[in-house]
Amino acid sequence: MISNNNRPVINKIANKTYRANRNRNFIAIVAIVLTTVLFTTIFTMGFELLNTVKQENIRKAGGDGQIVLSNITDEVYKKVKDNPRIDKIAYTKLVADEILEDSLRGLKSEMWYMDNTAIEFAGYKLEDGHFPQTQQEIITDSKLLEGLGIEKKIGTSIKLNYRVKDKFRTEEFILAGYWNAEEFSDVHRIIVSKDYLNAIQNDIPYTYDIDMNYSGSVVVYINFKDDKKLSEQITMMLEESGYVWEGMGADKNASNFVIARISPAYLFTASLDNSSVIMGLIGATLLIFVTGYLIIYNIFQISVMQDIRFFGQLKTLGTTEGQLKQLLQKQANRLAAIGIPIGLILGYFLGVLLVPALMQSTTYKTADSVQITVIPIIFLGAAFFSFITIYISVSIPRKVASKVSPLEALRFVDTKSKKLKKEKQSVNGGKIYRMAIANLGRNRKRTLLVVFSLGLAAVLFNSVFTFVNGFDEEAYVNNFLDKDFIISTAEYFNYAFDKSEYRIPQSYIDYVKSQPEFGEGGRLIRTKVLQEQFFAESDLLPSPNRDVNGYPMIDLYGADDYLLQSMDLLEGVLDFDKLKAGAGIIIGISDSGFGNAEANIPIQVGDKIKIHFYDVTDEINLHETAVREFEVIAKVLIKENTYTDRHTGNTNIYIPSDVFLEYIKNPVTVSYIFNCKEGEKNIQQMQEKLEYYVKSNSLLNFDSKKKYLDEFSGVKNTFVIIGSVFGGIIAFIGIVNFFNAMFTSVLTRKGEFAMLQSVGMTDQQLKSMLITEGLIYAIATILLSILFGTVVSLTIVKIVSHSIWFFTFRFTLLPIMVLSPIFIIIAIMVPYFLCRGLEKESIIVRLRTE
Amino acid sequence: MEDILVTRELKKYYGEGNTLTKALDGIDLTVKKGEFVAVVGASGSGKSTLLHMLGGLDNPTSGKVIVEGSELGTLNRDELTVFRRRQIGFIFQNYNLVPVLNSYENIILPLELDGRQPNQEYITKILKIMHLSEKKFALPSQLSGGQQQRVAIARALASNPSIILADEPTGNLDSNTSQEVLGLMVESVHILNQTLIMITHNMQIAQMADRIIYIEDGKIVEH
Repeated sequence: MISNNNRPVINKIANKTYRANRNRNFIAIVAIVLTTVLFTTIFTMGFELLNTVKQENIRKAGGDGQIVLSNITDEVYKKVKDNPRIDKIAYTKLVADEILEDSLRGLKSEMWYMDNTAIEFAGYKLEDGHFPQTQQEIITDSKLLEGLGIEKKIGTSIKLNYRVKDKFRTEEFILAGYWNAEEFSDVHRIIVSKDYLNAIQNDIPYTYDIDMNYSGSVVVYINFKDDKKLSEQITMMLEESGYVWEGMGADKNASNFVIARISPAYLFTASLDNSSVIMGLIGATLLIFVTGYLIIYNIFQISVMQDIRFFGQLKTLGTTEGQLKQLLQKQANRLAAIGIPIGLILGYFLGVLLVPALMQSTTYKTADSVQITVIPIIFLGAAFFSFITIYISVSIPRKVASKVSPLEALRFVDTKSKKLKKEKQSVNGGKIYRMAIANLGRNRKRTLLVVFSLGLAAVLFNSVFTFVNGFDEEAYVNNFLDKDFIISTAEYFNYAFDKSEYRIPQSYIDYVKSQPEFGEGGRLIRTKVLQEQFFAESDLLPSPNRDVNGYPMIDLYGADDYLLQSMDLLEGVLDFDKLKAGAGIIIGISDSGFGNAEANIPIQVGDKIKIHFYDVTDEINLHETAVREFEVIAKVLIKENTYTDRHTGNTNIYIPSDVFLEYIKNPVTVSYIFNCKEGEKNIQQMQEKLEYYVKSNSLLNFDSKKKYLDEFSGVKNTFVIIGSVFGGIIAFIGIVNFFNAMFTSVLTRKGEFAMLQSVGMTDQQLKSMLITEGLIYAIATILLSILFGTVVSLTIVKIVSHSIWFFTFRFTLLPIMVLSPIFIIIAIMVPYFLCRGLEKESIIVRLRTE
Repeated sequence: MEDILVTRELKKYYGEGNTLTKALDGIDLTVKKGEFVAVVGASGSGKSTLLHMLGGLDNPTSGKVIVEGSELGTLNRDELTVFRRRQIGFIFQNYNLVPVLNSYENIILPLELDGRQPNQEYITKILKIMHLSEKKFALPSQLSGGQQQRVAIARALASNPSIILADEPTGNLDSNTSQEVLGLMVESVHILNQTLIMITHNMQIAQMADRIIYIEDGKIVEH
């Protein structure tokens, strides 16, 4: 092969052509910037969302650590801790599960020993002070100090009353340090020193296997060196130490059984493939790709058409196809080199602005603490996708330019297919509007392409808006609470009902019932967990807690008829005769939080189960009080925030309250749940009354749908903002595209217009012709958008909306209606101003440019 | 015969100082109705500039162009355009047909732009003279170069203008076709009693004219 050094000349031509195309360059850079902005923003947001979800799950899991071994003995810890698979292991031991200070009643507080690794895993970063060293030193969080009314000053002494294994203790501690509590953390810890732990060691023996008392049991968090195949690694680690766990299918009652689980945070990352975040990201990436492709392709295609003679000349002069391709690619690269960095920067800032809004809309309410970090991979990814989009967009124009035949190019008048075209059997084509139509028909492919790409932008904009507009606050809130109001003790709402000594007073319920706004309501009752427990003689109920016989512990509730009647029936029939006769029970299936029932439990309607009633009031050993057989008559879908004591884990089973009371000595009212009479006003008034009521009764509280609605009222706006930003950019791309199409279509025909004017077309007639062309573009685009917008809306958007529980599909073409006038204005303005520009140039000059 | 076109001291200067170019430097020209005038001159002599001035496509630096009694300098942009489509028929070297219109539509375009109904009889006559009856509905891309130029000539004739201005009308055609097209043009001008001012390089073609004007450095010179 003969090679010659022609690179300099190609570069030179590429440079010159690049400079000669200022308008195209500007529009192309705008398009590239916008495309890159979209990619960067979507990646930043996606990444931050994943990260926050993970952090949140870590926090929920009580700390970092891929796996958790719960409620184990020190012996297990000693045997496991030196396993070679382990990278880091954190040791924690619960000392006291309750701090008996009245001022802490609203806060869930616990006393722990945690080693340094554990403190690090938990993310407690001391604002001031040091880790506890002497026996008396403790560290805790700012909220707890505030609760106790103690100054955040190192060395302050703190007197605490607390309970360890049902024995009350009082001790004087010294504050060694504190960290700032996260806004929404549900547990507040007091961390004691190793010395204190050693001193109290004999008072907190491991008794979890006997009485399920957590105090004295060890929880360790482990990070393996390899973060893959966690489940297999747990098995191997435990096997090597002589233990078994659930993942090995081991018997839970075996003496060497250990409760181990993979942290939800890592389960989440492990199951990324079916995550909606990832699906959303892929969908959005494709969408951006298509949008970017259409505009960049359009710009280059039009530009190549414009320069086709030039390419033909180059070819005549001996430029090869490859060189022509290079020529175009070099120009594209240069535009990318300018556009992509700008897009990355703008996109990053846009992402930073939008992430907090996005977080607010999720259940991950730590929005305040969202920390956005600059992650190179986001930029690399966005830049990569942008470049690929540009590369692919340019591929067809590149081919067109390289394949140009020199002769054809010289005669090229931007009219396709010269062969076999029929003669035009008309006599009035000279009318302005007919000429406009005929002009658009000159290159039908291009006209259609422009209309389609504009239409697509409008359709995308419309779809994004329709989707976002479908956010259903009601459905969202119903997921948490499906009745207007729920009243209970303050501790109930702090998820500490099971430890509460305080009961909801009848006067509170009577107060509510006596209000004129009150509609219908019912009580949910159960027992004090530590006093009476229920176990079902069945293998069909999942439960982490089992009695000596291996029967799973259940949460048995008595519910008033109103509640039973309004439960969301999944299977079976609510046969009140059977229920009232004390023969039937209802199984509650928890709503997983996404509108779907959690994995159904194996027990079937019609099955009979024996329930063992135990009394544990006085001693450690269980004392069976009764055994009754019930028939499962129905399965219902329950909201945990409505139909439980908000402290769950066991299967929730419901019977009528009067039946419940027959068996139970010490019933406790969990909550009173009610609806108001119809009308927004009633709810509003009840809300105000309750707010006033709990103000003077700090031990009581309430929750309401309205509270949630208020809390989430911003969520819809968030969706609208994010959707509008994306839809807006897409719409803007469409507008830029439209502008470019109009602009180039006028500029490329300068010579032709001069000729028309030389034979007597006035400026006004020229303007009318071009405006007519623009209007045809605009109207075609609008009609197409309406057609496709409707089709896409009724198919894809509808399906997607239906698949997400808090979205309700609401058909709208409003965004297209909003875009339409913009298209029409551009269709009028661009030709108008371009004509004004043309008028300044003399016809002679323009005739020569032909 | 009446004077259909008169120019007085017509000047067109470009630039100033050292770069001053005198494209036209005092042209006094009178053309009578029905006359066929050939304008001959070297490249850059100013003959195209003269033609543009006569057709109102360009404004003179000084001097006057009077067509059928009206002075072009007094007309505004739109009036000039209207003047052009009514009084002037242009024929360009590169035909300048509208690609989306067929022959017939191209021919009547100036009439339509003027909002006039074409006189069918007259148009048919022109089509016949120009041997275009068969190609009435053909698009420019379906015509040969000679045919396209014949359509352009027919277009110039269609509005029955005062003057037809032709700028090297056969410049893009081979010599046989040139002869044929030119023959038709001269014939039609005579039949329809049109005035024709034509720029050409070709002395053989120029010989067919009633009168030949030589231009050198922006001035009319005697030969």
